Amino acid sequence: MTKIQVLLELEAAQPEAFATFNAASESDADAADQAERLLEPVAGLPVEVPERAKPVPMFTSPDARASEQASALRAFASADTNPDVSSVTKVVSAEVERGALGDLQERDGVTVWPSSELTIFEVPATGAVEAASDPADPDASVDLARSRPGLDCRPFRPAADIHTIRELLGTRSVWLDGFRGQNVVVGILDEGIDGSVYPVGGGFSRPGAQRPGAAPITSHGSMCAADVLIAAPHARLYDYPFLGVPRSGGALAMFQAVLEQRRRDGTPHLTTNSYGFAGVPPREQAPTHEIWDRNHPLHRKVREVIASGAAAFFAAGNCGRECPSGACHPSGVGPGQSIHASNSLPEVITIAAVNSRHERIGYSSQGPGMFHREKPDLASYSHIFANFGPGRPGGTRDQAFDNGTSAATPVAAGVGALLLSAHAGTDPDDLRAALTETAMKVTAETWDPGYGRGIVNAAAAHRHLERRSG
Amino acid sequence: MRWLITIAVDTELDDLQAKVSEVGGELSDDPPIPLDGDEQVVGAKGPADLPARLAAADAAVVKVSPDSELELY
Repeated sequence: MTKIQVLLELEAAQPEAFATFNAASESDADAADQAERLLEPVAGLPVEVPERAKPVPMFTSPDARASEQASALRAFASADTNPDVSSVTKVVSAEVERGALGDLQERDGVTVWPSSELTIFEVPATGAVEAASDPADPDASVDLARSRPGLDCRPFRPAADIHTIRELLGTRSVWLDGFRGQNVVVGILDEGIDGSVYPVGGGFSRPGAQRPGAAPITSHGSMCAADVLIAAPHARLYDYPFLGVPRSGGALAMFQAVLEQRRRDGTPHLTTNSYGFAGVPPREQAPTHEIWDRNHPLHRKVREVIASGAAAFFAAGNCGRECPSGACHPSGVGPGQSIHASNSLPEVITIAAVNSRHERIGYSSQGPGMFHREKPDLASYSHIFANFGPGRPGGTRDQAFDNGTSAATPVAAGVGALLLSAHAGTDPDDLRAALTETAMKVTAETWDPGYGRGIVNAAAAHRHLERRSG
Repeated sequence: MRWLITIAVDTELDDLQAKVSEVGGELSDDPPIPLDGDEQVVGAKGPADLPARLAAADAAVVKVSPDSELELY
């Protein structure tokens, strides 16, 4: 007699249905006992339950009552844990003799469903697309589901590994199209990069100055380099190290070097900038300060570089209201006064920080921006084991993990580099539009002072640019 | 205090150096940075009221801006 695979659904008002299913999942004996009790109404018919089949609780019945029953599940939209509930029916896989199907379907309270073979939409094995996360690391889970805005303050939640961040960024689909940042150069204006670890191919070079790539692996610039390479591992880096103490004049000189390089060969294609000011001087006392004068030479130079076709990613800053960095002056903490100077120019792309759970990190500076209100533009990921962390190049002595809006910004810049790799010639305005219009919304607001227009996503921005190019 | 002095591209740096020294400041040795085609920027050290002193001395400067310290985020 031919046997066929079916799904049998039987009435089963099981209290604490989630806990009961979990018990079956953890114990084959428990699962077998549950299946046996479930199938009592069909006793005597040729029905066999495969080993390890577990009765799955259903919370809506396949009839007109389903809508009303489903309303009880709406509470699950909350980020809070909800109490366990009762099932309405249970479904279990079974093998049934074809000739007995009629008898089965005539039994009261029994529904027979097909159990058809599924096709796995397999991702082609490239050998280079890495696993989403380390299954041995429970803190590296990919949490794409959480949508309620949360907050991560000290003590911070555990950092995530690079694979998790790549998965969250949606780099896989762009990589599978053959793009990993190749043919794109990212300029990093910071305190220098370790070129023995990261692919530094040029930058600011002048007699007496620190050579590109000569910084230690524990430098802030090396952290930025690691973070660019998360999304765009085949990008090249140009190192523009500040000379001594970071000052606006040093940044001005570095942007001039960027412009000069662009004049020569059109590179770097974008810059990432993880620095700024930590306080706001009174306007009446310092009206020409970088924070108040939008025509300060540094801001003008930044605009020149962007006008030359190189997008500029700037960190929002680490002076968010809830848990500001210790470096912040009270005058520069919180909404409306923590994103300023070049970091708040309308032409730049300003980046806030979230963790891998999409919670805003409490030190991430909040808008409105002081030059342009709708800052930050976007949020991106920080708290990553990239340059710093166990087994990472920078180790754990100086930092436990890559952190700050300093890390979130090069992560976003890396996404920018990945997109430019796939869509060469995209200008800064179009790049910004692709990133902001496709960002993953965390709040209902079009623009949010903590998240900007949402969290950066490479896959969505890539599709946006593909559609635009027709 | 550190400053960034914006000047016209045809400004004689020796003359500017003399003016800045006259009011208690010192020009940087770094080469001027071009800006917007017809201006350039040169660094300087000087008193907190350097902009007012240069204005009083009738120095040929377009603008004097602070060269403030930045924080790495």
